[in-house]
Amino acid sequence: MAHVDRIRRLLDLQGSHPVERALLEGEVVAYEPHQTGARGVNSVFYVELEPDLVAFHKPHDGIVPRIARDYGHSLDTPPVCECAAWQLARQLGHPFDRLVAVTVYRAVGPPGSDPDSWLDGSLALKLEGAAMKGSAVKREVPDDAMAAGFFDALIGNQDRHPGQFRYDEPNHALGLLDHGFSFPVEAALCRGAYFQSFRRQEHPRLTEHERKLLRALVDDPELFGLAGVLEPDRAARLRWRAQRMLDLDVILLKGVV
Amino acid sequence: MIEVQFSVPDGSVGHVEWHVVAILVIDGPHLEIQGDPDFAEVRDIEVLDVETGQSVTFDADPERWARNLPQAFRSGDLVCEVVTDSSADAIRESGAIAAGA
Repeated sequence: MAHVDRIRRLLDLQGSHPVERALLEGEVVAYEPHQTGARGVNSVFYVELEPDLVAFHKPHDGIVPRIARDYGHSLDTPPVCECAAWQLARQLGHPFDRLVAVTVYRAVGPPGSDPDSWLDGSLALKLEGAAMKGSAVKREVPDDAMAAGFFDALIGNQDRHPGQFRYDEPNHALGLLDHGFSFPVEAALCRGAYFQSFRRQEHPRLTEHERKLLRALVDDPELFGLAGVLEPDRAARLRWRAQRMLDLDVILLKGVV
Repeated sequence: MIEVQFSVPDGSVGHVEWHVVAILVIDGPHLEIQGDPDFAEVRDIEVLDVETGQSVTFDADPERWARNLPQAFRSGDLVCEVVTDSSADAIRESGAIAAGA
């Protein structure tokens, strides 16, 4: 199956969630690159959509090939994996659909410019809260931190570090973002596993709810629709990780992807 | 000495303004944090050295770690940027002297 066919399958999955629809249909009123001109950093664009949404767009064209290759990805895969992580979270349901940033695949560009010139990529809703609040998350919402550990182990998150989640302290809300480097191929590197390590330390065994979710995923030949969205080797590893956790009844260790 | 700046966007004023939330000053093995003290957690981040393909930690090589830190932040709502690098400045200056500038 070609990349274009996988994108078509992804587009078919999108639109059932109200925030997804808002991201897909909202008129673009602002589109600006982030301020850094640093070389070797993937391009991300700040986006405002009508009526009142802020999101971040990561086009395929903005990916630095050297960084993608390091994680075992190509220029095709990070935006798709980012959207696939949200789609999986949505279908896993509570609490994952509350924790993961709603993300859609669409073309976005400067308002007033020709939409045919807009670039395809992932568009992730801005999360409330601040970065580097790992200590507060583990102290104040440990159940969410442990659920995040399960989710990261399942998607094979390759770089969950303290800057890759937000914590809204007044509302005690954890938000997970930036899943472009996930759904790895076999033996790909894992650089950060913040919540996975916490979960392994605090409560490595699966809960009954997690076992039920994993069984439903491995029993579905379509992997909740992701079999047609992810490249075959990435989909196979998703199934492998789910089955491996069921077999061992524990959260996988960092780097077991 | 390397200075790394973290900024977040604010679009509530009709256009996007970037506000600095933390600055790291790395001087040899020393790390100083200005702004949000919780950015001490940044020390735990393992980064890719884009030139060599190796993973680098703060403890292993603080300045190489700092130079490569920006590419670990890809979400767009928290931008990391090296704003001062005295080693790079010194190399540029010595190059200019050697070239007779």
